Amino acid sequence: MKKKKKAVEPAAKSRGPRKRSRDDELVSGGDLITHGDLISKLPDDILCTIISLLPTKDGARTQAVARRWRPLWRSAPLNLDASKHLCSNDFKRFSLISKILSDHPGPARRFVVYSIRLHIAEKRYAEEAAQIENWFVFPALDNLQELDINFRQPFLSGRENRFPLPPSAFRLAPTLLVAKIGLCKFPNDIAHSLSFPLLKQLTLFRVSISEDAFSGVLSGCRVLESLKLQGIPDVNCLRISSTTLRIIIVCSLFERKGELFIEDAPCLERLLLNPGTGRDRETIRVIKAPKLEILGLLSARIPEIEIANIVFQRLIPSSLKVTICTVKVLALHFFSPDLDAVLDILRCFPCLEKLYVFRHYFTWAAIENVPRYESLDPIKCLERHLKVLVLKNYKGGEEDVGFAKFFVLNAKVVKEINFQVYKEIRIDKKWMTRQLRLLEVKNRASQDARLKFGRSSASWIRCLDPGQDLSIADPFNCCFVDAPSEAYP
Amino acid sequence: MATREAGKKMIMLKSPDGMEFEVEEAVAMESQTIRKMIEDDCADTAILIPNINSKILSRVIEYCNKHVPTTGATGAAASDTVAPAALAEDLKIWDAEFIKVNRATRFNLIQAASYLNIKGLLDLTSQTTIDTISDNSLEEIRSFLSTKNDYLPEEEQTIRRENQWAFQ
Repeated sequence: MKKKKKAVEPAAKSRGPRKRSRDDELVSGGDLITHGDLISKLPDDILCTIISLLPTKDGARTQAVARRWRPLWRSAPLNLDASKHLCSNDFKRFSLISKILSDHPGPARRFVVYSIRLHIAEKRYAEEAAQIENWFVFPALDNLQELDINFRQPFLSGRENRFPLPPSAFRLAPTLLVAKIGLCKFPNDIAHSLSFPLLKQLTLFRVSISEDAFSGVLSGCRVLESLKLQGIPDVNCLRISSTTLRIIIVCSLFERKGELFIEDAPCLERLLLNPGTGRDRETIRVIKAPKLEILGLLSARIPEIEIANIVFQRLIPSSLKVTICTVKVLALHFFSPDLDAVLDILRCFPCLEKLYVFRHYFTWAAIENVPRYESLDPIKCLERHLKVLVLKNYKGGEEDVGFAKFFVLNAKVVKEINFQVYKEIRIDKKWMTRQLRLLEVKNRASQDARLKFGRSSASWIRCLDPGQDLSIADPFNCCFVDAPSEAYP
Repeated sequence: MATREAGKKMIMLKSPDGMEFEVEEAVAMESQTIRKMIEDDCADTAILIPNINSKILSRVIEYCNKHVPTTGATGAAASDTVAPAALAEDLKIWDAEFIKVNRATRFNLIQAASYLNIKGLLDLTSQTTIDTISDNSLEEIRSFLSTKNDYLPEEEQTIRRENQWAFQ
């Protein structure tokens, strides 16, 4: 860092007023060929920032651009992305990573290395394990901000199933902002001594870790905002207590039956769940999350989820008396549109403003009777709050129309109903006109309602990104990026 | 830069070519450099911004105007909870339009963002440069940056050899 400061001064000098005025003419002239070397007038620290943000090879190549550029790669924080494109040969990749780490004096911004495969033969395995341990000791990785490391699923070879992540990796803990660790064995014995004072984002993907060690890691995080857990083997219970977490993402958590307790999460805003493969065996219990605003996907595939004393068993709420008033955005996943079930769930979330219904596209079941809303107890969110309804995989058949029509006719303040039409259905004028007639749009409960028909090719899995932007108010929205082709009225 | 409603403190920014820009204090303070001047009481009536001509300065002010956090005065109503998402997405679209400028202007904007210490603008302006350098050959990069190759052929060969992995 100090080195860079020195180098900035001569560059800053060259930004004198005379040079500026010459540039002015060039700017107004807009001549792109003769305007001279503009980028070299930028101070070194900006060029270093740029280099550090470049893909690894492109960053290193800038040394050959011109003399001015030669020292910059080494004084820019290292961005080492050692995934496949660095070197397709797994075993050569090992030594290449070691070479780059020994070439660069540090500090580092980012170190990414995917699917590390260790040799099966004892001797080579030991050598490679030593090399991995050594990577983290290089000064090149000083002040590392982002670590993303995972190993290849090991072949069964009598040896322990997962590669033990070397404790040397945690030398970097004090400066890490983002950590993604996958397919390895966490060093349980040191977990309680670890401290991650700056860590904002943690992902554990198929990492073998004990319940106790997991709690130890969490309590070592001071400012953790986002936690993603996926496929944690060998445990049947995990507990989360954090005063700083704002996002928790859970994907097919346990191998066998297990329970996740979110015991105390005073700042938790988003609980995002992957309904997974249908073989999920997790029970999720949210004991205290007074700020929970965004929840989903709730799916019948998650056998049991408990939030603030309401237990949803395969999506059926245990009580219609208790309500969760904080949740504003909810996403539901169904195999077929089940209106009765949705209405029961809506009663639990009286302040809901946005509802997403993800429908499994290959099922086909007709709704027997669309209930008449007048005959039901009023549902508060339909009366006062629900502004947006999004239906994914809408086919426009009888069962879909029945489901959607209920909201057209009864959601009193809805502003937008967004139909994400199934890809094999042609949205043309004739289809639209028929849909609008079937949906009885003329009798809609909310005069402001706009109906939009469009497509979405994006997968909802994108909303499970632990690095999601908290300023984007609704993570499910990213699954619906395409502009609607038509809107009504 | 029309006059604004009363009660908001205004700051005068002057470019070296003699143009003056009246902006809200909150807008000017998007620049950490100006914020510091204001907080240190170095900003009486007008702040001279050296090195940044009026054309670039006006673009910078345009950017800050758009990015200053709205406190319910303009833009979306504060009560509508759907607004922040829409706002953030609108800003991204606006940014994409804003940065459609020629290279000379872009480099001047990088320089201005760096001097005035406006992180969002610096990220935005650098990103397009990053996108252009990524996945291009050295010759293309040099031509894009209008940088002359001042290496002797053998010097360049040495660098390529030492970092062979990066040139494969």
